[in-house]
Amino acid sequence: MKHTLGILTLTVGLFMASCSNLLDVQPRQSIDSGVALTTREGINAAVTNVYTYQKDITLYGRDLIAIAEALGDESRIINRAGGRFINEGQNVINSHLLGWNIYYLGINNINLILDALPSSPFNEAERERIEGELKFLRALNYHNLARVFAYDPKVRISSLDRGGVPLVLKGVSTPEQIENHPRASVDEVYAQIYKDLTDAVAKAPTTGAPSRATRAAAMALFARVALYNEDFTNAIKYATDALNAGVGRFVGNTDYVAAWRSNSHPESVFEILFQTRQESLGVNNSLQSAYTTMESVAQVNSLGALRPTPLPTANGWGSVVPTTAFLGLHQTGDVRRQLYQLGLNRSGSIVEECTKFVGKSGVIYMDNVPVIRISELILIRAEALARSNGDQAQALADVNRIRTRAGLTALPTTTTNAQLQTEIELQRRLELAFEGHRWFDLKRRGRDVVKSTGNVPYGDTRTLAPIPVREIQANNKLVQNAGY
Amino acid sequence: MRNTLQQLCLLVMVLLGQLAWAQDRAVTGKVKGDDGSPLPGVTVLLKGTSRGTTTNAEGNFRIEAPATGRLVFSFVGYKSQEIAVGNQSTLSVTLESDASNLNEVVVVGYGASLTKKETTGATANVKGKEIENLPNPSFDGAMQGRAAGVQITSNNGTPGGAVQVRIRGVGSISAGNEPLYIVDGVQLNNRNDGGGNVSNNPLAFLNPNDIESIDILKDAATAAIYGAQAANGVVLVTTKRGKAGTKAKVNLNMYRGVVEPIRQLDVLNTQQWIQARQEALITNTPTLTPAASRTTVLASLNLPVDLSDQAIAELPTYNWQGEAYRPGSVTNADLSAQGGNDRTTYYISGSYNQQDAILRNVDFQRFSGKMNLTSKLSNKITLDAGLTAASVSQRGPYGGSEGSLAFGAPQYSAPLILPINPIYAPDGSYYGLPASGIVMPGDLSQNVIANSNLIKSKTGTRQLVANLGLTYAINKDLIFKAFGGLDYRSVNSSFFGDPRLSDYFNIRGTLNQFVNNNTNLTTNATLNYNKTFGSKHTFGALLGAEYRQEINEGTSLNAQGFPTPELNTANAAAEPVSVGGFWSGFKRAGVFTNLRYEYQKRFILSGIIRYDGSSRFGANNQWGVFPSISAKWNLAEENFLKGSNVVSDLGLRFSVGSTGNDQVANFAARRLYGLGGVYQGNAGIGVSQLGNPNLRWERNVTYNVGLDYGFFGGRLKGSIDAFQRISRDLLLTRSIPQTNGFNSIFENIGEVQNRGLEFAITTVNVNTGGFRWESNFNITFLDNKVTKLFEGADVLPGNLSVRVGYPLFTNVGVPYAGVNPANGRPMWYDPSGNLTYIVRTADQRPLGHSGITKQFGGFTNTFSYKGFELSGLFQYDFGRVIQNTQEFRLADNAGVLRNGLEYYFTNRWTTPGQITSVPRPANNRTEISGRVSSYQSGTRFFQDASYIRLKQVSLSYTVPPAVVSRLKLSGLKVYAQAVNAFTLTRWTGFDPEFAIEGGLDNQGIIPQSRNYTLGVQIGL
Repeated sequence: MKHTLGILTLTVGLFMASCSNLLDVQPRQSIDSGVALTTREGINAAVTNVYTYQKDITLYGRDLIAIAEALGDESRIINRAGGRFINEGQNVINSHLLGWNIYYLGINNINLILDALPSSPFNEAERERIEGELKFLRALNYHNLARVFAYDPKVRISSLDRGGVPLVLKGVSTPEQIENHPRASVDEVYAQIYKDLTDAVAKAPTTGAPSRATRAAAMALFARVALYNEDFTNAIKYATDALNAGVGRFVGNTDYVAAWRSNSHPESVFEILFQTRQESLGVNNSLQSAYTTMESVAQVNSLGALRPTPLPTANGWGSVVPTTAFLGLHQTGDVRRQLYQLGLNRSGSIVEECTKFVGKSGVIYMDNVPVIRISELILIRAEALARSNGDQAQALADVNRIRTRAGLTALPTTTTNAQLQTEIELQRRLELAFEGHRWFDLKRRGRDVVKSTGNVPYGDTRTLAPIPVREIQANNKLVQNAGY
Repeated sequence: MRNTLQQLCLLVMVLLGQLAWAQDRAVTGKVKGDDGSPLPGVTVLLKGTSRGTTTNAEGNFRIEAPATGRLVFSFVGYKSQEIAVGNQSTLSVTLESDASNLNEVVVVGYGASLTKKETTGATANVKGKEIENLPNPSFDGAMQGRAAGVQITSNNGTPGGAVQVRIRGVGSISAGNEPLYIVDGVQLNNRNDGGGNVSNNPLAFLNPNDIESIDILKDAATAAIYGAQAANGVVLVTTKRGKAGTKAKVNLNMYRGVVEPIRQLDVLNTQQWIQARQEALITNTPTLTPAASRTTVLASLNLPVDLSDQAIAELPTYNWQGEAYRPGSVTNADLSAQGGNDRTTYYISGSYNQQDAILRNVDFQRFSGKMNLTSKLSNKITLDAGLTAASVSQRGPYGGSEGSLAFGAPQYSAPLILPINPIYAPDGSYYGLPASGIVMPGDLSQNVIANSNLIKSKTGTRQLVANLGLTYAINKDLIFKAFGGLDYRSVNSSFFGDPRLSDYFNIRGTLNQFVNNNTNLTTNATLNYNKTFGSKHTFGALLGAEYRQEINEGTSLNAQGFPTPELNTANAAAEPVSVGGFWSGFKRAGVFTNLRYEYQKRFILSGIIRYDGSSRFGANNQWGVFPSISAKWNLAEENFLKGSNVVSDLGLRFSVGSTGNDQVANFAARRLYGLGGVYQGNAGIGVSQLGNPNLRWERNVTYNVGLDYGFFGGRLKGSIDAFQRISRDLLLTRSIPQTNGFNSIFENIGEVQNRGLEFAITTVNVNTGGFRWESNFNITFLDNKVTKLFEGADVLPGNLSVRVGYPLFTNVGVPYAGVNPANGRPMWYDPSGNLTYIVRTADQRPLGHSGITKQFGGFTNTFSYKGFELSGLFQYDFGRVIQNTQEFRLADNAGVLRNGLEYYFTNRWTTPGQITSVPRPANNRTEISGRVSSYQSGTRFFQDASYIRLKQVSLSYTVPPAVVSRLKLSGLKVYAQAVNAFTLTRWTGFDPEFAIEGGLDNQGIIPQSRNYTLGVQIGL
């Protein structure tokens, strides 16, 4: 009896002594945060990962493009997809652009790498390249956040202005680092974007375009940000620099349509790459499916040439389609009109659909998404020149470059500044249609959105997206946008 | 080194069993009933140990016992008797028959068993007999309505599918609420590993007919022995064992029956839909003439736009629900043999069970084998071995098995497809397949019947549960037991999307396959001491140590591009799309003790302490202590009641104690970088978890006051329990501002309180002239409330239904105010009570009801007369108010190109001044003013999901022994049974029973079915 108890005590003692070992299980699919970013491999993989957030459905995967178009005035929504985009198309309250969490997820990962860089095994030149790349991406995230959730700097409606977005510049990886971030002012946000882009222009690599961040991409984004900020000097400067950087090729009239059929758009200064089949967002979530019922470049081409009876089966939902009024803006002979063609029968309707995203990668429901391309840069410079009463000849030359390439006649030198500005706006619409620009262009100019489902006048609170309610609940320092 | 050390620990524990000291001697005897006839099958147990035997056919038994030991004789329907062994070597025992079952044995964990009278805790018991031959593939579902305090809700009506068991309410917000399941000592993993293809209930490996009894430990008095795993209660299952000394008994048992849908939803016919659609278009475009609207509607249906009224009236309507929901069959056959001599007993069984869901091509099939062997290797050493092997095959539905919003899923789409769409083309082929070039009009353009019939979704689960126990009687008072248990499960699942179907046409078919292997090991060693000092003081002590580990790993693949539908293995695919893999695991260790003191059977005091560690928690808090203390005063043993002929039993119980919950992800406490996405063909990593080194157990503190009663010789008996269960330091996913780059962090914050009353009453209403009527009634009243969240939060950010002062699943929203009689537009109440057309998210508020059950239970009545028995169980669940999310999609009145319910059509607003709750039809469910909210917004669809149903009714006839013996059989019984025969509810969906925890709802689920079975039981 005594022996038994003795042995039992010993056993239990032994058992407990090895307890720390007894309970030792290490995850095999994850790395401890403390060591993840101490190696070259770790940091490289983390940088790779930062790009993947841009592919999210709420960002360039679809919504930042398709919902922006649905909110704007160039599209109408056909109910072919169980109500997808219907509410956004009607600008129903709370149906708006999304992505708050994804932007900040990307930003935090960027911040963590930036924090880890100084003690990383990379040499100074390598660190600089990574820093430049990441600061471009951080600027892109903040600019998209700012234009979705806040007013643009020069057209604020002070009675409704609740500020910019929270600026978070330090990485968070432990519970102690959690903060309730308040909204920074719009100017502070823009100042930070300027700062990041200045660094990116100086430090980002010169190779890797268009799917990686480069100096050219940083210049191009700087030009766009400066235009939103009505800082025409910088817009002109950086648009010019970017155009001279040798990234992206201004395509001609003959290969204009072909450019939209190739996997990577030749004009792209920066584009989001979808490469492997598993990256496809599928029928329910892809940009292709939002825009068209057609399945592939081949099908678009063959249907363009001949429409057989019966028609092939529809694939995508094709719910966000151009309005007749928008199609009517194209003059006869405009090559860009060829990017809209009759799709397939879904839910009893066959309509003209935008074919800019038709599975160009060769995989259905998967397209690279140009973020900034040469034509936008030309139009940025033209607009900045025209609106700042700068070099009118250059502005005219720029807009004529777009016009003549499309197959239209050049405007005469007698064109007035007002006419020029109107024309630039029109060319922006035609050139960048269905690429997610129009909604933001109207917003940064303080224009009303005029559409048959009900107008959204500038000053209507639906101009800004609501900050997710859970954010307001979780963060007592965060102020919701007016009207929500 | 670590492993070596662990193995050494275990080895030492097992070796302890080899040591020997004191001496027992054999005691033999005979047990008779009070009528003088021998009683076979009586359990003879050496008190305070797990050593026992049963009497043979002649009522004889033989057991090794020390002179100071006490033998407990117990048998169903008789009062237990306890006899001190003393010097006697032969005993003659007469058991007194008893309608009260208070003396029955209650299993309380680690092999210990007590009589009901000795139990200080709140327990419930379900006899194997009660759930025998119920067409439930798993025992958890079969317990529904049979135990007070135990609420059982099937996730949906999939046979062999997941079931939620909640013992005394829902205590946890973010961590699991599942009880700990233990079958013959083996702690099971009850995670659904079906991966969405099938609803996979891991408890379905066990044929319920192999179960002897189920004991449910509800309060800390008994559950605390399982420490950190016991917060949600413990379910102990004991399977059948052979009875010593009986002649081998062979039983053949078969039943067969039909499964049928409970109801279909009344949807619009083609003409009604066209009418509603025309109105909807005009609502949004008032300038549209009726003729123009009609043209548009006809065009959207691919019909000639100039159809006459007559032609429209003649358009067909097809019943997609009728084709999707089909009657099926249910079959069960099992064969068991049991017997043994005084040294070795056995129970062996094999079974086949098959059951169809009411949705096409969804079913469950199980082959299982069970073997229990108990053998006395020597007078001191007893070996107890059990083995259950099961092979379960399930076919799953198109779309997720726990609810699907896939347009191709028949369980979601069948009522929504426009009724003008035929199911089959004139030549009998499926209508509208992509290759035909025909596109079905409407949002739902997939032939869901073709989807059901052509996909191949098959999941096989192979499970092996084994237990091996070695009991060593060190001396008459001290028993050592070493135990090892294995629960191994391998799930093999594949889903083949046929290339002929809409979703897979352009990718030429897809195959998803995965393998998930789970190995779960439990081992423990216990030392049990029991001694009576003098005649008044009994002292018992249990000391033990336990170790459990689990490893879960798997791989998966996806491939596309199949040459023909017939070739559907992965090697036939043109393109491998992706591969996946995962690995996870946890370890637990603990030591525990239970000390008991009993004074003259009158006063009982019991205390438990368990010290438990789990790898799931933060480095700073891996270990926790779980104590409990409980007491019982058996008033019926007091002199003032002892002679009473009214009171046969009266016991007052009290317990308080603490138990833990560690049902969180295995690595929830770690700071992690996990796999991110892929870019440029490279895999990335991203920060994935904040981690919390202080993360620790969620702790439940339970207070229980209970009364066990029996009157009039047990004709009226039962128990009443009042409890308060406080779940504190909740393992809560606290939402943090996403600007930090994370959604949430796991922290120990918040508190939920469950208070309740449980009543269990059994009465023998009539017992004369061979006619007997017995009633069993139980009801549980539950009051659930969130009492604390975290600093500064009265509402859980991101989940408005969790708020301080309100029950969990509190419904929030903007109250619906019905339709403006003037124009037919839906209105809501803003916070100041004014009518508005706009629902603002910020205006959401509690609506005064919640999705949590307030009362539940069951009521069984059994009538028996001369071999006939009629038994019926009413099961009920009151108080759940739930948004009918399925109806939400069916209330569009042709606002979109989908079908909807007739109710909304008939009651729609059509004329000014009309008072109704159904707005006028509107295209896209929204009036044409941008700011106006959608018709689906707010709180239109909350409904009372309370129900009472005749869960089970059965009629059986046991053929008299005289006839049976002439047939050279030992027993014969035939029976007919109906399950879910009828349901009373105000819920307007398919069925009010479905789970809402874990983000589930009633959209696209397979509803409950009604079953009728006929069976026969033959004793060979």
